[in-house]
Amino acid sequence: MSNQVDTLSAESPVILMPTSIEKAVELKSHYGLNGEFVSGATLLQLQWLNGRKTPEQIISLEQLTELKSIQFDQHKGELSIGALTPLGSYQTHKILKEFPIICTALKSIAAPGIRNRGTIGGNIMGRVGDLIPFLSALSAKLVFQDVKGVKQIEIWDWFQQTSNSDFLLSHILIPLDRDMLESHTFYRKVGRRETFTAAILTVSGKIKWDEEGKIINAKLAVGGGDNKPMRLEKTEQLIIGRNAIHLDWKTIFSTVAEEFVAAEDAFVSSSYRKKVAANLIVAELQSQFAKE
Amino acid sequence: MDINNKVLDNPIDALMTITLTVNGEKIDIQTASTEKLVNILREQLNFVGTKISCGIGRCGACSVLIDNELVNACFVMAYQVNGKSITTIEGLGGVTVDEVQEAFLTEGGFQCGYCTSGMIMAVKYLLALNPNPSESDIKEALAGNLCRCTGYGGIIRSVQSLAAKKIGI
Ligand SMILES: Cc1cc2nc3c(=O)[nH]c(=O)nc-3n(C[C@H](O)[C@H](O)[C@H](O)COP(=O)(O)OP(=O)(O)OC[C@H]3O[C@@H](n4cnc5c(N)ncnc54)[C@H](O)[C@@H]3O)c2cc1C
Ligand code: FES
Ligand code: FES
Repeated sequence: MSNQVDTLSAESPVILMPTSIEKAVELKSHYGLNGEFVSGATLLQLQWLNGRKTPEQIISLEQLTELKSIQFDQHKGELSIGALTPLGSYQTHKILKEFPIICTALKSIAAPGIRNRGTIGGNIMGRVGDLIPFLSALSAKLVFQDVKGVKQIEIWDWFQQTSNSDFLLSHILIPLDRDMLESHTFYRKVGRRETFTAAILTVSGKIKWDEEGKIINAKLAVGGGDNKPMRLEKTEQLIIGRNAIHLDWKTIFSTVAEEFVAAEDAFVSSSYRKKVAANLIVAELQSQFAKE
Repeated sequence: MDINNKVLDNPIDALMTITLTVNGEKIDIQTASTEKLVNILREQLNFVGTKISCGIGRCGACSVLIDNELVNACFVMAYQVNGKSITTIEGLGGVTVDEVQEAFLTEGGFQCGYCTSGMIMAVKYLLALNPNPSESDIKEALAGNLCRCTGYGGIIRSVQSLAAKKIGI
């Protein structure tokens, strides 16, 4: 008996390799649902193996080198990451290495071999990736292109809309602070063995406060594994405008647990996930505000 | 460009000819566009040192290098390796064994050996990026490689012994 890995189907798709974004979106518009954008294909191959229909045309994005650029605009205070940037780039890319929290998030996804193929854009556009809640907490914007032109949208607004698969994601724009406010950004992933089983959950957040300790802005998000990415908007409202020393930890804990719509499976209950998320968020806030 | 006639920048048909360099040797192959690299290596080219276990990117048994980057060969398709250079376990060393293989032999880095070729490719990649890895760097680099036998102690020791030799301690 020969030991083989299943190939997708007897009729393999036609591979189209456009060399410009304009050609890629033209192809997508032409083939519609029969054509699929493919970056590293690490998520798609899993989905195809799980029964998702393989496309007749693979529109491979891998020759679009303009989608691999990473730039930091000092003037705007904005990091721009090309959608085709591999997850593993945090190990070698000079600019990414300057942002430890981004490296932490990228490093938490899959294992090195998959991170060298899987891309940041694919993680987002698959609509289940760990980067969606993380980038929502950072108020990242997505730059899309289709045959009609270019548009920008905040990642959380995009995620709440129904997906339009004709758009090509070209860049992710991450605002980085230029104001003098104090801030704390965090990303935590909880799982059993990171590369072998999906995450139990991830929590992410960005909190800003003024010199008196008043919380000016808070973005909190959860997701990971089978949990649908979501912002914790009630918890955000609970803490915005409060002085940090007056935070009521018990209410924060119960609000997170109440609003997180956590997945349930044979191994991990929904109530356990809620408790873990609430504990992590409280611990992250306390790491900043419960010191004195 | 005429998309109706599929006259594209790079027209490739479902059954395609790809050119690869495997362990330094240039090879042309006719294959389905989505054939897995691990099948091409094992079935068409007889490089059976690369193993298959899970087949879904989770165990690392099929690890090889593409243009010096670690990948899972069960999760890379034929069209994705066209024009690329692949290194498999057979491409390491030469007349004698490679230094990583030697370290695994000396330090008891394997038992049944099924995971070993994948482990060794992952260690080659790690040491190319970081010649002096800490224990946590080693664990992170091998997080995608599962071993059912060794309990990982011997594997980590093998990498540490090699790093110590490289930096002369
Ligand atoms: C073993 C294993 C472990 C994994 N672990 C994790 C994990 O811990 N966390 C996690 O989040 N994910 C994980 N993944 C899933 C996957 O590897 C990542 O989400 C990866 O980032 C997907 O990127 P890709 O380039 O491979 O996407 P692809 O598979 O190429 O594409 C994914 C989707 O995005 C679309 N797409 C891709 N690029 C674009 C673009 N530029 N514009 C528009 N649409 C686009 C595709 O059409 C498709 O619908 C894992 C996968 C494997 C195999
Ligand atoms: S066989 Fe490829 S990762 Fe398991
Ligand atoms: S030595 Fe047997 S699986 Fe690792």
